Amino acid sequence: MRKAFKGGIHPPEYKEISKDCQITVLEAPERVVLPLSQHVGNPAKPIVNPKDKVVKGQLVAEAQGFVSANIHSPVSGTVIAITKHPSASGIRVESLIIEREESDEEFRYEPLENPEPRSIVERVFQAGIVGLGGAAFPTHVKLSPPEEYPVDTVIINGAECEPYLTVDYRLMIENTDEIIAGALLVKEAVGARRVIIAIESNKEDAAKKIASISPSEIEVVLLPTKYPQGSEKHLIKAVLGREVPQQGLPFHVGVLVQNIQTVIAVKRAVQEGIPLYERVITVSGQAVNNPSNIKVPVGTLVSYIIDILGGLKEDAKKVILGGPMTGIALGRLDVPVTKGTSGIVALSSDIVSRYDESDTCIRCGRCVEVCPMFLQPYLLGTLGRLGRADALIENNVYDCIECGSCSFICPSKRNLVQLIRVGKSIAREVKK
Amino acid sequence: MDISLVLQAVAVLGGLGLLIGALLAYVGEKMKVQIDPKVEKIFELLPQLNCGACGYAGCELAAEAIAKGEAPPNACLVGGEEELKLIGNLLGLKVEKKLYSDKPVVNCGKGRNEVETQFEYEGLKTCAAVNAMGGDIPCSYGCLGFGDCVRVCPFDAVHIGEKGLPVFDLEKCTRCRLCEKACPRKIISFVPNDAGIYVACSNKDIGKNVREVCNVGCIACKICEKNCPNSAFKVEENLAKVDYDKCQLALVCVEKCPTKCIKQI
Repeated sequence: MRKAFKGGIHPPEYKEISKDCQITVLEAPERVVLPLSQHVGNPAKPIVNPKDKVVKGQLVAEAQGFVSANIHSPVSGTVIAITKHPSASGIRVESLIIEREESDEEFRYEPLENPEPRSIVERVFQAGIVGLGGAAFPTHVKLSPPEEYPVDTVIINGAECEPYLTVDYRLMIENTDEIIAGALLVKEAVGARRVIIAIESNKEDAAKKIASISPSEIEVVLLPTKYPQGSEKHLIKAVLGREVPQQGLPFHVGVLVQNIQTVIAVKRAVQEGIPLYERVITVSGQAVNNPSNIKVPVGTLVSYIIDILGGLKEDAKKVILGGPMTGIALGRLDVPVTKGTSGIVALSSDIVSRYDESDTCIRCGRCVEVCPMFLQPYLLGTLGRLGRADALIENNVYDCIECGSCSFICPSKRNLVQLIRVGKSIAREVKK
Repeated sequence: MDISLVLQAVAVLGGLGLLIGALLAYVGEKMKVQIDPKVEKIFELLPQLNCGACGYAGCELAAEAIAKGEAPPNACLVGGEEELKLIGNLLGLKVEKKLYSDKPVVNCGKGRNEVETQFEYEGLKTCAAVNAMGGDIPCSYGCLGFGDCVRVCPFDAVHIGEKGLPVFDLEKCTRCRLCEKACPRKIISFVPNDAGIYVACSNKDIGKNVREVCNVGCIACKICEKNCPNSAFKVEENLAKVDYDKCQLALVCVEKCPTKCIKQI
């Protein structure tokens, strides 16, 4: 087993809640809400109008510019509105609302046989594939590194270090063939020499499953279980010992990292012509009646998913979209699952920590010890509170990956990540 | 021990001390830095709050600029009238305190105490933090009411009122505009000091969406634009805007606005 990166934490995993639940397909909802900006970069531009009929898989919003992604309808039906709809972040964003009608019609792209690297990237762009690990960065951009930085290694990210989430684990067990096929396509697309599938040691059975059927050019690597192992930079450090430079990207050290579910999406888009309009998510947490791993159409409302799975327990206190470390606590449940949503976690009141208004640093230095980016979270937090833009930038606030390790470890229960986020937005404002 | 030894040491060290002292006194006098005594006096007359409203980084630099004549004697926007006159006397200039040309208004009509919050928010209780996660009030343009403007005001001129909206004390307000900068939703703006009306809404959504979240918001119906006899209104980005150069205080707008979001000051 490789050595882990420096820093990080060991939060309780709670993976056993949904670990053994087979992936099931959720009945499509009556209505889907597709935010036009569910990826990093420019929002997509709708190419349909209200009252238009659409079929499943049809392109409904076009990418704008290079860093952007196409959006396809996950259901056949009628566009009923293009309007502002609440999103997970709490802000109302422009969204397409489509009402489903019973229909077997479906649009697919032409499957590609023995594709050229360029046509793989082209297809990934057409299919609107983005990083499905949570960041939702357009995948075709990652597959087109600048020429002066050749990629020699592709790492498939199966770390899944967030507590509760078991999507990637289930996919590794159930869709092993597709992962291998997708990984080879990604390798082909960037012309890499080798593929490494990196998995945390708490998912050893998945690693064995993949290793047992993978060809020789794919290496399976077991990593020590530690949060945030799944962060790109830390994964590269742990697997290859290479350090991504400050403000740099993986291609600067000749690496490309793709999430497990993303490579499956690549495989389906290339070999079957299916655009990205559905994804697998984990529904878990102590306050969920029926923990599950389910395949849902993008745009399904969280409230619908929770209802159909039997609702929440009475002592439900918080519902989080994504994992508990980096996810967003929801203020309302009528928000859609987007391409970047990896799970829905409902926590009961005994799990949720008490919120403390006080903000007192006791100078214990534990946040500095665990910060995987070697920052000083206690200082950044205080500077964020004071709104000191210049000092924040001087102390590298932009390097913070908001993993939440500092907030988790702080014995004084300071809301460090929130303070740092506020600090980031202040610094950005001033820089303008 | 020989007493002469002690005396010798005292004489040598004492003499050395005196010599160096005299030298320092001489050099100090010879190489004295000339400070304009006016700068110090002006500085004493300034409020010394370092608010920066004059455009200089603190009162000391402002005093220097005033003494050099780079800034007018009434450059300070916040100083008392008496003090400004004294500064004028010091420089031999007649100073009349400038009347303020503008005043702050709050472009929101419903405070957080009057609306239903959408969920229980736990976390940092500042407007900037709450705004970063979308805000807990229904309107995504309205006042969050956690008082970032209150905390930033060096003159105690802003308070959160009963409704949950900021209320200005124009006697104390020195128009330094720190509140305008601090508000993450930019709902504090400055209008001409003699303005008689303002639009108490910042919502740039279409009317239907505004009505969903607020009953006193601007719905961009353009009634003000059509009815103003001086055509002082223009609806831009779904929001009524006043051209104060044209406004003659006909007040038709205040009367006709269906949601009463145009208010008389």
